[in-house]
Amino acid sequence: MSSFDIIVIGAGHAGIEAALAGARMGASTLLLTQNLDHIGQMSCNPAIGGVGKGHLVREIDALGGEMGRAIDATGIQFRTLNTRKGPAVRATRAQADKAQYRRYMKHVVETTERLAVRQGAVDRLLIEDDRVTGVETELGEAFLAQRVIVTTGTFLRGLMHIGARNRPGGRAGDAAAMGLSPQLESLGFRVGRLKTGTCPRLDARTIDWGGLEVQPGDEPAPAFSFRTREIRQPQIPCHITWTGPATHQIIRAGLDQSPIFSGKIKSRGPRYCPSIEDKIVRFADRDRHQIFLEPEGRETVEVYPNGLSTALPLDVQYEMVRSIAGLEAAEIMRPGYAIEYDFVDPLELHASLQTKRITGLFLAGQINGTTGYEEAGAQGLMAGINAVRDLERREPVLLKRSESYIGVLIDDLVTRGVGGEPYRMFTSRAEHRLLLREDNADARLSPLGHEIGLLDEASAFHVKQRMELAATVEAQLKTHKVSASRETNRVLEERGLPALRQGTNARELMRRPGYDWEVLSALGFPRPDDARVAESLRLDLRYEGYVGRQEELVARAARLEETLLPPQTDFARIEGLSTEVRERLDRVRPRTLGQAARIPGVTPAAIGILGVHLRRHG
Amino acid sequence: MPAYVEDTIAAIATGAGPGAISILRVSGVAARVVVSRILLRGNGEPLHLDDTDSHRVRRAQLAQPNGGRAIDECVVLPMLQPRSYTGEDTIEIHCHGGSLIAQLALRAALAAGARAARPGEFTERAFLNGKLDLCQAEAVADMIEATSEAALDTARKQLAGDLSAAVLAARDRILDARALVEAHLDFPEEDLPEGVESELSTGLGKIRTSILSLAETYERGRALREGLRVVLVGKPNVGKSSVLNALLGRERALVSEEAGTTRDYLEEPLALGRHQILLCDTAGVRDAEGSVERAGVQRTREQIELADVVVFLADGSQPLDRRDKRFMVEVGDKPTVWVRSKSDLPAAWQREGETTWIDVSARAKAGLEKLTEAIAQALPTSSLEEGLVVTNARHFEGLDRCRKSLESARRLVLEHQELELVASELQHACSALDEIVGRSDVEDVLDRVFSRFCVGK
Repeated sequence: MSSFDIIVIGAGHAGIEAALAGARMGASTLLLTQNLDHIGQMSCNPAIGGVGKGHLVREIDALGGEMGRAIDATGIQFRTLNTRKGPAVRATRAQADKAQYRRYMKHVVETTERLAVRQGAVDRLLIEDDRVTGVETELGEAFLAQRVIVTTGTFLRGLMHIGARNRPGGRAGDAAAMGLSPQLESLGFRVGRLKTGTCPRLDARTIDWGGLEVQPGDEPAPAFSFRTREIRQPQIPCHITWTGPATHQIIRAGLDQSPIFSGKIKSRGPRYCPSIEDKIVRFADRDRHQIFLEPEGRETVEVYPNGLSTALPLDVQYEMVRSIAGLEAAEIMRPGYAIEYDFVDPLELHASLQTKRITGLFLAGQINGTTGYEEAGAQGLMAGINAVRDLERREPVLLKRSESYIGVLIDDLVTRGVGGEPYRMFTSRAEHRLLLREDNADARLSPLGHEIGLLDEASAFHVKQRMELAATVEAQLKTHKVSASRETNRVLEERGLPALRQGTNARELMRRPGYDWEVLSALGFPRPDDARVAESLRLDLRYEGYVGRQEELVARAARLEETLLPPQTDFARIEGLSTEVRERLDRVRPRTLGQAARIPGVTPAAIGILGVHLRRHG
Repeated sequence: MPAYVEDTIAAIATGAGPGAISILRVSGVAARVVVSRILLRGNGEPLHLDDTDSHRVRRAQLAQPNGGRAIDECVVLPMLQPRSYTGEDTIEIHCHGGSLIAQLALRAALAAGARAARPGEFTERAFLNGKLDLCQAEAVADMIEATSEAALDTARKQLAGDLSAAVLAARDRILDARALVEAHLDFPEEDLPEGVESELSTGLGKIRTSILSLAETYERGRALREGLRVVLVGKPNVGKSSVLNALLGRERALVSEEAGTTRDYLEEPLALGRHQILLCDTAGVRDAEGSVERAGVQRTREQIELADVVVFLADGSQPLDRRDKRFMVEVGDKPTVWVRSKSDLPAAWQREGETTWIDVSARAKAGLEKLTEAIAQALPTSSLEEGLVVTNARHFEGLDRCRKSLESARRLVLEHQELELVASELQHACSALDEIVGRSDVEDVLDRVFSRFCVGK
């Protein structure tokens, strides 16, 4: 029987990052997948990034993960969103060539040292005395490991719906995993059910592109990875069309056949990613909805009509699609469908993503009730890192809410659970949003990525060099005096900036609205050659005041965040807590007082009582 | 925001109403820093407590922060951690009694960087810092629960209930604004309504107005709690103390022929018809020298600022002089009752300006009834009958912080600055209100985004 340090079940976006992190950090790792041709498959839309999600990709990249480099290598259209709403919400989004993305990931996992890749559907975890010891496939083949990371996505008892028809499946074309979630349930895990859906895929040759709005990529293409020098491949545009009253009429008439409205699907879908049926019903006053036509790759004619997620019967899907401008003659190559699947309540997890019930068992990705490739990748990466840390008998790596979106994501999951819909990242979930920019992800996390042995020496060195350069330039800005001379004010006036009344230094000026490197170079301070350093430094200075206030809030809360609750704390025996609060605390088993304070329903008074308890009993 | 944070809190530790001293208590890691900003040595230099010994008592001048106006002479008692009630650095400042000084002292401490303590917060900290026994935990927990409810339920339950409803209503409107902003930040590719800036600036202006009008009731709220403040104003030795005593019907102020013998100012509660008032004699001037009289004018100005009604006295037996007029101009547009005192002596003047003067003689007990009637007439009536009043310093502080954040947010919108900065200000505005009503949840904002906007491709 083969034996490994770590086994990863599932080779989706979570599984890939988990397996790569494990192997790169030195653990012998096995990646098991049902289908070797589907490694890194994008089950839904062919895109990576977006607001909040792009931030996650940058953080995965800064720690030494693969997602950023993969999309940089295989993207077909790159854009920066929110360019005018502020640097913290500025975000990168790219369309992927799906097939190429899969090939890239397959190549990376197949060429990574210490990483074995096998096709096999895991049917059962091997457990001894509440400790995982390995896995067994449906063919009865067993693999042994003391640490197992489950990243099975939507495959657990997946049930796909199109109209009144349904059949089991993990996604279109793949079988569901029927054995694992009943086993998890029998081990005592709280298993719930979620729903999501996807769009029909259209044949590009049958779309009338002529009258549609074109959405080109940005030039130069913005990269995700700070390790990518430049994106060279040519870009392909997306197109935009709209539903109309006729479309809405067709959908309304078909509602009784949609499993979402007929009562066949009971679980709630995500509100931020509604089916087109949902949109028509909930926003009945809207006379049109936007549809993005996104190519799925360079070598395929499949087009993803983003915004048309549906579970209507196939004939209604056809009618609906053909009522849309440009799609009058469109052929559907694959139907849209809704899928229901099992997930495990993430309150079952420690912040390391190890389960509380079974030692050595980690869960990451959609199995934890999240949605999105980026959310999955981030969890996979952290589960992989922490499986290795556990192997080495070291403290887990737990990112703070104030230093990363990954920290926000995992803290939300293990503290608040997921509620009734799949959890997706939004920047509004981060109370310290202004600190967490895409452009400073490497400065925030690369030193840690290197320290834990994941990010390579050369990349970490480059980040360090850039940070040092930024510090040097900042010092130079401070000593560069700008006088309130006629010449200075002429330069400012030409750019619509208010005149200086008294002299100051260039660093001070950079903090003011309207100042950038162009203005500063006109005032005699040249822009640094490294464009990334220049931009990050400009933003750091511009936001200094706001960031300072944010950091004060972080510092104020630090005492709560740093007070640890011992893992063996018996909440039932702490006097003064209400039964409800005890139950909530016991379910989450918070690691710190700060985490306890974020649990819904836990009162400030209860936090005070916990504080006293800690002082008395340590 | 966690309820328990590492900041420095301040509160008046002594009860409202008359008393020989008022104690301002400041506790937290920055207590010494905060207090050093509002204390002066005898020579006017700042008094630094950075390396003071614990429990070493000293005298000082209490003043507005950063070289502002002097408030009072005081005694300072530092109790350094862990040798204090809370277990943190705690500094007590003992000032002269009376709610005016107490209010000024508290405001100075807040302006110097402290936060207004929640009710029971010193005890809460004592208990968090392990200064209270665990066997008291349950009792203390109950107490904290009770006081956090009491935060919504101060002196007047019914009125405070209205307050929390008003705060929640304002919070609701801020959440709408946040939903609008967050939808644009988190869903840039959606087909969202245009014109976010004009909708925002109008909306924020309206919310700000309602928060401001709530915050402005704080002065009235204080009046409700402590009594309406009737302040006697006039140059030294026009008989303010005698009139005060005559109104009270007993010897309270020390009266002397020598001008400026009132030791500090006095406050005495007095039932006037159906009103409870606080009758205040302004700061006596200890020396007739001009420089100190300037200080007297200063103090008078502070008193007038807080007054609900001013009673201006001028000596009827002496011609009105420049000094009378100096005090007279300070009255401004406050409701004022004009009194010609010492009417038992031969009158030296008859009229001054358009005002009606009431002749009063404390010695002959003449004109007192007319005076009380005139005061009662001048009292604002609405403040006692309107429903919604902020009575609590912590509530006022929260509302004030909310107002400031709303103003910043609106300014950012009007200046077309980054939307995420607007979002940050709105987040602060919302959490300031959350702290008043004791709730907060990011899901509130997301719920609203999803219910108002059709997002999701």
